[in-house]
Amino acid sequence: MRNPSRTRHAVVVLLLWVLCFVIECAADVPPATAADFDSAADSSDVRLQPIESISLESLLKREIRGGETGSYGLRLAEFQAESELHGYLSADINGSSRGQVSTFDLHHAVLFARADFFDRIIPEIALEWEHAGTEFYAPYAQVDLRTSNALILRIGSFVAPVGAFNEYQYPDFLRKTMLMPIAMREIVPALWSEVGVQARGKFSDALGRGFNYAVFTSNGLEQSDPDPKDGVVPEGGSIRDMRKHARDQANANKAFGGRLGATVSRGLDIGLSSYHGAYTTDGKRDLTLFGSDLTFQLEEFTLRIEAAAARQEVTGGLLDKRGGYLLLARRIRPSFEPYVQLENVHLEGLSNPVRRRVVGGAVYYPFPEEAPYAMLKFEGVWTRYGASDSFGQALAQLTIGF
Amino acid sequence: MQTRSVAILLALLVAGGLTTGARAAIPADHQAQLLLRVLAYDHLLVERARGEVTVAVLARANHAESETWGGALFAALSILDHQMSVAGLPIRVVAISAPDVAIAEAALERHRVAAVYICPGWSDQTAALAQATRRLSALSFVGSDPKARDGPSIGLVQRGNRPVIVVNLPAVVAEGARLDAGLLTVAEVRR
Repeated sequence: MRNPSRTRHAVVVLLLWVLCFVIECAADVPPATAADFDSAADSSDVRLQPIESISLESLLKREIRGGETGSYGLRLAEFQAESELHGYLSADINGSSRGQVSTFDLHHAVLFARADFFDRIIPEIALEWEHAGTEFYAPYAQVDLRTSNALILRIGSFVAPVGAFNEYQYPDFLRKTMLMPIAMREIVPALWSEVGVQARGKFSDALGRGFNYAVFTSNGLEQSDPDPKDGVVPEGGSIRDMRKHARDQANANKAFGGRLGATVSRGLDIGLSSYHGAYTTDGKRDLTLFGSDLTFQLEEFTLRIEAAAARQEVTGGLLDKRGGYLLLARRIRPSFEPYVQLENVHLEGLSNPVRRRVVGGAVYYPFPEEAPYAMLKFEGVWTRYGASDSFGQALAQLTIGF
Repeated sequence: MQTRSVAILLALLVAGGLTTGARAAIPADHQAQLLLRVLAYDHLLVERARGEVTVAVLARANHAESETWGGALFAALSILDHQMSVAGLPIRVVAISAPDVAIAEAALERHRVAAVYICPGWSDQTAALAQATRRLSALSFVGSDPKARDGPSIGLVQRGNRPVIVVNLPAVVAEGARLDAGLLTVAEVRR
C-alpha cells in the first residue's frame, strides 16, 4: 500500500534536489588553477570566427527574461525608447434640464502617449475613460510616417479629418464651450474616429499661408444590425450611433473622405470637407457628408463658423440633415474669455427636426501663463425644438490638460 | 509534512537570495563576449596589438573574490580565443595574479597586452593601476561602473535587467585607444 503523502514528499524533495543541482551548475565557476595564471593559451586554430560577426546589440539584449522584474514596458525602456505621457481631465456640474437631473460628472479622464523617432515616425495613442471610467474606449491609436511636410501617412485608428471641430476642437481643454454644437454631435459626430489609412500634408510660404489637405479611406460609418438573421437591414438611423465601426464584417465597402484647407492670411483658416461611404450592413445605402468651416483668430478675438450637411439614403428617398454654428469669443483679460454660440440644425427623420440653441458663457483661466490649459467654464444654454418648445440648462466645468 | 516541505523550500529560496543578491553582475561568459566585441570598435587596436590581441585577466593575489572572478573570466575568454578573432587578429588570453601594481605592471608589460580585465580587489590601487595601463597602452575593463575619470576605461555593468557598457572617454584616450562612434551611441559615455 503506497502512502500518497510520502510519495508527494519524495517528489518535492526530488524536485528541490534537481533545483539545487541546476543552481549549483549555473553558479559553478571553474576554479583558477596555478597553471592558468601567468600562462599563455595556445591559439593555433586558423579558422577563427570574427568577433565582429556578433552584433553588439544582440549582446546587449536577451529575449527570455525568466524570473526577472518588469514586463514589456521595461523592455522598451531598456531599448532607450523615449515617450511622452499627457492627458486631460474634465469635471462637470450639469444643472437639471429636460429629461436630466442635476449631476456631478467626471466627464473625461484621458491619457495621451506619444513618441517621436527622428521626426519621421510618430506613434500616438489616446485612452479615454468617460463618466468616471464607466465608458472606456481608445479615441485614436495611430502612427504617422512623415516623408516631408507635404506628405504624411497616417495609419491605424485616427480622428476623421472632416470639419474643423472633430479634428481640432473636440477636447475640452482646446475649445471654449462645454457642450459641443448639435451639428457636430448629430451630423459630423464628434468625436469620430476611423480605422484606415490617411495621407495629409501642407504647402505653405514663409508667412504660414498656404494649403493643407487630409484624405483617407477607412471602414466607414455603419449602422449596426441587431439581428442580422431577421432579413431586415436597418437604415436611416442616427449618424452618431454609426461610429466605432472598428472592423468590416458584413461587407467590404470602404469609405472615402477628407478636408482641403487653406490659411489665407494670419489667423484666417478655411476648409471644405467631404465623406462618402455605404452605411448599411448590406452596403446598399450610402451616406454622404459635406462640411465647410471658417476660423478667424486675431489677437484675443475668435470667430468660428462651421456648417455640415448629410445626405442619407433610405428606401424611396434621402434624409436631409444639415446645420451649423457660429461662435464668437473675446479674451478681454488674460484670465477671462466670454463667448456666445448660435446654432441651428435640421435633422430630417426626427419627430421635431428643427432645433435652435444659444449657448453663452465664459472661460476663466486661473493661471493663464503658468497653466494655460487649466480652465473653469460657466455656461448657460437655451434650446428650442420647433417653433415654441424651449428649455434651458446651466453647467460648469473644470478642465485641465497636462 | 507539507509544512516542513514549504519551510525547506522557503529556507532554500532565502539562502539563495542571500548568496546571489549580494551583487548583480553580468555573467562571466557574457562579459568575455562583450569585452572582445568592444575591442573590435577600437580603431587603434591593430597598432597596439602587434600581431595578436593579448587580453590579460588581472586578479589580486590572495583575494578570494578576485581570484574567483579571474578564474571564471579566464575560462570564458579561453573558450573564445580558440574560436574568435578580433580585427582579423588571433586572440591570446593570459591570467595574471599579482599582490601589487608593480608586479602586475611587470607581467602586463611582459605579455604586451592590448587589453586588461581588472578583477575586483584592486579598489585601493585604482589610480596606480590606471597609470600602469596608460603607460602600457592597454585598454582596461572592469565589471563595475568606472566612475572616476582617472579610473579604468570600460565598465561592463548590469543595470536592472540589462547589460550596459560604460565608457570613460578620458581614460580611453589616455590608454591609447580610439573607439568608433557606433559603440558610443549604444554605450553610456562619461566625458
